Amino acid sequence: MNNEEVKDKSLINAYPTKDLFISMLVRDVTLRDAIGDLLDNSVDGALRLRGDASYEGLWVHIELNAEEGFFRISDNCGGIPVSVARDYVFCFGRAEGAEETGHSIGVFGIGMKRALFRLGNNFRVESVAQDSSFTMEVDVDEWRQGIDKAGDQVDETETQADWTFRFSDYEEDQEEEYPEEERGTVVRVTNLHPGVIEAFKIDNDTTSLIQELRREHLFSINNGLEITVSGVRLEAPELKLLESDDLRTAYWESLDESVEARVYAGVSEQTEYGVNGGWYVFCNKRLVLGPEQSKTTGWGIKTPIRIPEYHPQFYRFRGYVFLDAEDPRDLPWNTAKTNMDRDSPVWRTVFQHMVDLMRSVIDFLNKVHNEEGHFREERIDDTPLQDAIDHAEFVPLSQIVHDEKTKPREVTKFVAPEPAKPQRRPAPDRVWIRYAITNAEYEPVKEYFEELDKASDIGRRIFDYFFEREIED
Amino acid sequence: MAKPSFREFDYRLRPAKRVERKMLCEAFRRLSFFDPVENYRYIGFGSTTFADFSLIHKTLAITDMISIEIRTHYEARFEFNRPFQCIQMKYGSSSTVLPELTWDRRVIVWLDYEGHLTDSDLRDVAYIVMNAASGSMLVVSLNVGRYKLSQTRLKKLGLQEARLEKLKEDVGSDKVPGDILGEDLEGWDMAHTFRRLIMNEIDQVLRDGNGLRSDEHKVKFQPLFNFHYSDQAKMLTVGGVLCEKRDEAVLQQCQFESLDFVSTDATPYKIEIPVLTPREQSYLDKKLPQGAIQEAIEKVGLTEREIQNYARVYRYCPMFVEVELS
Repeated sequence: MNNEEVKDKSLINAYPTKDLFISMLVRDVTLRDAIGDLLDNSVDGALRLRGDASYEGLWVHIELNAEEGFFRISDNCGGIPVSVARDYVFCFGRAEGAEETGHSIGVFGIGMKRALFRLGNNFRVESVAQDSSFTMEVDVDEWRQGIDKAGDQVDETETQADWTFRFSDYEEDQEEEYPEEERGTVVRVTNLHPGVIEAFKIDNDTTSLIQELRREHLFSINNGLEITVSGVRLEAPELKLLESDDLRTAYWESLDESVEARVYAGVSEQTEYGVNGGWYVFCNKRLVLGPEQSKTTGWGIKTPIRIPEYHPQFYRFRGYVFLDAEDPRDLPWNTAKTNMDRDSPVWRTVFQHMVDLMRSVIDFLNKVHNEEGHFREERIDDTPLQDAIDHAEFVPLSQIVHDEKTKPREVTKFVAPEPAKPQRRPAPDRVWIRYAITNAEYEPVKEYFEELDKASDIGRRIFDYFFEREIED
Repeated sequence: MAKPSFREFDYRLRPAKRVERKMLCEAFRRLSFFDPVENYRYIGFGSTTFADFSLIHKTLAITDMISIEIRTHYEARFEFNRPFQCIQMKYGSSSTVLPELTWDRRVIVWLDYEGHLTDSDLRDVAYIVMNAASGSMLVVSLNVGRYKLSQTRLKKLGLQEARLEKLKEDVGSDKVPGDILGEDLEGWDMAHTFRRLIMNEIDQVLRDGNGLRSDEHKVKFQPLFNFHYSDQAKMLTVGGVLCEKRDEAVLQQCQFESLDFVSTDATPYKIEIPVLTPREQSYLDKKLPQGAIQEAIEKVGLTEREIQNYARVYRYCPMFVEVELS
């Protein structure tokens, strides 16, 4: 037998086709995630340029244009150096030994490509960096089919396909640096997929996109970054917690390992821009979870500490977690940056401390709730807990860490005053009224007093109603 | 044939418990390699007798003492019976009180529960393991006598299933490994099972907490106590030391293993106290620690086993006498 002629029949060709690859890559990626990924890249640029300093003067503009059928994201956040584009940005997966980008959000080396594939068929990336610039245009259909430059179809299995992209234009190692204001990146996607155009036409989709991007980049927006979506500038509140001598945020930090962790748990009545009761988890300043009110952040767990399910009674609870790492791969997030990896040792430790701190805040909020009840029943005259909340001031997170003497706190528990001791029984000149009625009788009355949830409150209201009309004067 | 009554203690005196208390105290003293033991904080359930508090204060000179008391309605009695000024009373369940304490110093905690293991006991254990400093000692005592099961439950499930269901109900089914059967809750096997669940909880909490700790700060739990005894009801006491890796040399210095009642694995140490008259006790004391057993057997008429049991515990054995307090 002539072995050279015959294919090795024991060999299985497991080489992936680009079709499969693209479909795997974009599966489960929402349009929101795709746009979010591109925004993450721009924000990474801002972080690389400025580090912990203010982002004032930096901007990212996103345009969703259904009429003309394009998507565009542009920024002045430093641009992508040609070498980074060649060795990193357009590679699939992160090459071993690829240069660290330092505290970035982009982690897995798939974000930008995945986003571009998800949005449309044609994309054009233009970037100007410190001493290099490039333009790249890709027609995904052609690339997928492996049409080579001469236009001849190439058999993928034979050639193992052309897994390359090509700059249409580039300059490298320029002696004269590009001026800072010219540095930046413009990404334009055309020939949008049908679902994408549809979504751009729906106002509500844009509104919720804006809300999510604003939440995710709360920190950067707060730090001065201008982000616009179709001309609308995103605004975000500064994160603050209520603090006073009597009321002090619980805090834990661990700064010695590759992932730095800071956890705050406290109370706040801040509700603007959808900030709400729950946990907020940031990885390299990018919000990954929040407001989180499920088991993921400890609500309703039974072990190692029992925590109640989230309930509107806890609307004042705020927990902020900041995880920062030089190498973003050390952070315990998933590829879509929408959740935490529950098996990660880092997250396990952080979680343990989160629930520990949160327990003390929840105990306080329960006591506030009881105090309200006792006060209403006139079993106490003072409300030290409510007073503590009323007298506390909103303090930005960055100022909470520093104690008097500006010494950073390590583990501190939530500090709150002691509640007033309720009298065991109502005062002797009081009478309790108790009676039972059927649900059928109760329901319409409950509906009438829609602002009241508790039967006891409704009972009280009914008595007042009678008293005002029949007894008083 | 029934045991003659002269071979039985009046179990209201709880002799094994007294012996256990003294043994633990002897072990606690060795913590001084971490920090002079008088600088530790002691946390326990003093009840109205405060027996552990008295012993620990008198023998170890610990003055930072906290007694957790759930029966708040008897506050006046606890205050009245509090033997020393340095004991602080904290009212509430252990699961509410423990998180209210500060954990900036080393502690000896003895969770001397009266009942069988429950999920809230496991949470207390978890909380302490999460928060206590390296060099802290955690001791847990539990009732391991047979479960009281309702007739309806027994009829419906049969004995073994009913036991298992009771365990799952008490500790949460997510804490009961699949290989635990009703049989594992029979006799002293219940002690083995409870110990395993406690160790499982400690392992999990340490694994979680160690994720972000540098190698030298990683914490391990060194088991030291696994007492089985029975002052009428069967009791289990497990315990050990929390120790960061960088403190391992200190832990070695404590030489806990040289105490013969220390058990670092699942092997229990049974506290058995022979019933002896004061005269027999003083005779044997004169011969101990080496002792001529054969001679004692002949002279006193005790069995070899009784003498050996006594030899193991004689240093800790109480002698009961009647006193007139005026």
